Amino acid sequence: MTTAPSTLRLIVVFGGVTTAFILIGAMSLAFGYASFDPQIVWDIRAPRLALTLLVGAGLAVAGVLLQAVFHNPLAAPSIIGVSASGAAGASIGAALGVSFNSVLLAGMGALVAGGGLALVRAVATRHGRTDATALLLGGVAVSFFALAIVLIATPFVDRAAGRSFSFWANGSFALATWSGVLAVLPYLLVGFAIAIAFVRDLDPLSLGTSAAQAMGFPVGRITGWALVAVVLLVAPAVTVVGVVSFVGLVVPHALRQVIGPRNSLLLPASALAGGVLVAAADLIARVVLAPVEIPVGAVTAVAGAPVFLLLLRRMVRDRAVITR
Amino acid sequence: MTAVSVTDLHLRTAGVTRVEAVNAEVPAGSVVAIVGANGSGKSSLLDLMAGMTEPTGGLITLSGQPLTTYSPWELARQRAWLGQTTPGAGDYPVHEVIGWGRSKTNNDNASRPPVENLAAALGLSDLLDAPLRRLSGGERQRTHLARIWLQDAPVTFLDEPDASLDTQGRQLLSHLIDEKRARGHAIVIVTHDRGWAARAADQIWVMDHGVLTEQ
Amino acid sequence: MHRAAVVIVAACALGLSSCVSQTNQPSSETNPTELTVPREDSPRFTWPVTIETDELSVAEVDVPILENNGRVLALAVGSGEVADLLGAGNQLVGKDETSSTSREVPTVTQAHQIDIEQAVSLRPTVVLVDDLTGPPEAIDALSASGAKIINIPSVWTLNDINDRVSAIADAIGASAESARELSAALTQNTEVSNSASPRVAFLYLRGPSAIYLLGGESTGADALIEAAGGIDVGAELGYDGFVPLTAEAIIEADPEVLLVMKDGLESVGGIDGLLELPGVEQTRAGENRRVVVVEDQVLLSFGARTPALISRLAEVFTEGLT
Repeated sequence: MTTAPSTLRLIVVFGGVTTAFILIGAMSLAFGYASFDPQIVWDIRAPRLALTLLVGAGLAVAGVLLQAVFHNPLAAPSIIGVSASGAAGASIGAALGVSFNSVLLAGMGALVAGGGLALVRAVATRHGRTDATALLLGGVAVSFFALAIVLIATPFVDRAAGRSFSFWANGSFALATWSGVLAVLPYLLVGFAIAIAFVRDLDPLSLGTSAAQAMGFPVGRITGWALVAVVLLVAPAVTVVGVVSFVGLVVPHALRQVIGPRNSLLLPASALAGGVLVAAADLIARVVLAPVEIPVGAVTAVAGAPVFLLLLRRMVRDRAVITR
Repeated sequence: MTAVSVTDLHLRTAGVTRVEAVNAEVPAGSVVAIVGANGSGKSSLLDLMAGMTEPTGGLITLSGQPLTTYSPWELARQRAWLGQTTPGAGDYPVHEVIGWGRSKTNNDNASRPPVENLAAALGLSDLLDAPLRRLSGGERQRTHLARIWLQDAPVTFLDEPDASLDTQGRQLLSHLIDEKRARGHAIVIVTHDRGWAARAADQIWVMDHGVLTEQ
Repeated sequence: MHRAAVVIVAACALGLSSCVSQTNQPSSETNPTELTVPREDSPRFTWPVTIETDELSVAEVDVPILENNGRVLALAVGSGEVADLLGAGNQLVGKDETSSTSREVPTVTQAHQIDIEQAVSLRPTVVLVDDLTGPPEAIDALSASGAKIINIPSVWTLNDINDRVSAIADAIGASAESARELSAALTQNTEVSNSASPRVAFLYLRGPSAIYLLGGESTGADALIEAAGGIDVGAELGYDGFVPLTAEAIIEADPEVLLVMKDGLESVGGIDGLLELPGVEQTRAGENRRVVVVEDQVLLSFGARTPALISRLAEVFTEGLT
């Protein structure tokens, strides 16, 4: 594997992502009933596309941050329980009457997600060292618990609202509106800002907590901020579209193979590729069984779960369970 | 000038006393070797002095100031530390890993040797672009040595740096240590190589069940 | 002995045909595709009974066809049928899944959720909605596209049918007279007498969520049961709306017949699954497997098939309990 990516590789990657973006964007704006009705395109498809791009970018960047902070390529928002916790917060809020696509509901999701993440981390961490396996297993447990809460809360929500358990658990962009975009945007912007501010400190974290700390990097502080960013990038999005899984796992992993591990490059690349990936997944979800829509989370899971297993296999083989 | 001093140092973890009543000083511009059997508390003492572990009792000063008064980045300017193993960072190339030594300590870069020079001093010139995972244990160790050398700190703590090095590697390390000493920096090394210690060190501290014998 | 049998059979046939002629318009045709209730052939009757939507005739009225240029999207439950009957059939551009109309018109809902793009692309000028219509994003989108959203009141008793029909008539521009005629046609057979007065329990079942409820007053089903000459046991016990289905509740209610919706029954695993619910098997209804299964969309729609449904229920109650 080569190290610093050559200019050629960078051009290929960014060029490829941009091309994919244009293609997929155009297709998702055109596909559907009454293809070129401007009102449909603007009121219905444009916010949908915008939301897929934003949510995808947020999830992918969250994946980059998690993998850097926990030194584990398997760390992703949906795997450590952040996504499911966000859904739990949203369904509780909805059951209490908070309106969908609102900044308030997004905030509630972020709060519960923050709690869930703190819980998992506390369980898996001792003396500042986080056990990767415990983290992932803890995430699974928290996810189950959170989804159980969603299951309990959902019947209390007006059935006509269309937010069933499946909506939260499997994700859907079918109800995307501009107000949904505006509800998540402030959280995403803050999350991205934090990520950018700390991106250059992420690389040395790969040496482990001790070595990084010894070189003067305030590991605890960096980790704390990174996790705040993760919650802000993931949970509000979940309150609007439900849980979209595996994006934070697949995108950084794939890009790392091509452009290397340096986070200052990986972060923006992941944001772009993540957005395009989710937009593509949503398009597939709309097209494959048209006119019926399948949940977008089903598409990402079908693609992402095998990648997860492959990564796991590689880790087992290398016996390189990276914990610090 | 004293680089490091410890007074009545005491460490007890998990019900076991690892370091007990240690009093010692490391003068600037000197090399101190810490030797002893496995489990004698050598690494614990080193980590305590470097501020990597908090003592259960006693005082540690670094360059005249108590360790506790330093912020993380101030500390990184004053001392460098390399543990027994440093896993991770496998995907990053050598030159980048070495470069991290410079990030937080932003002393004026003009007086600091560039990455290439240090790499050359440790025989890594051909490997600058290679990712760490492709390197042998010794090459990786030398990379980390270059990294902390780049910090250019007045005090350097090394825990068995020679363990994975071959003869040539040890020689290179030896040269670097001599050069640092000549500049007035202090080095504290945990080592099993008593022969080298006898030749190169100004002081040898022998640890036995947490207690120190100076020489 | 032969003669006695013939007399009994003739008496049953007479009784049956008088029921039938009381409730159906002369011009409509009942096509019983349902197999287990015999007519004039034999006195045997098998439980459980399924009432399919298709076998229920649609009430008809003679009203003028409307000529206005509206584009009507009928999303309130059963409103497509009603609009059709009020003469607005050729103005309908779309409907929900609960209505069946004489003209082929796209169905824009699935699992009672509107497909937003499909609905908006139909460019309706008037959209009929009720409390069950969703999601709100779809209604907002339709409103933003310039359609007039008209809320139709929900119906839980036969008396409310008037309000619903006139609201729909209003929305689509039909005359008040047409509305009255249709309302009359839909509520005409509330006088079915039934000497048996069977005790009927309405059960709401949702297997995957483990939700099992017993219906009481104001579920809508109670109105149907009573119109068909039965007694809604939940209403009799004074339950308001739905209560959880417990063994005590159902045994105390002592129903002779159970009324369920088709999808709900399937979700608990059919009749056998239903009988496994607490207390059900111990009731008279359970012991004899007396279950009436009605297709979801027609049971509580209070629309054009309701008169036929009521008379069919009455038939079943009469036949099945003798």
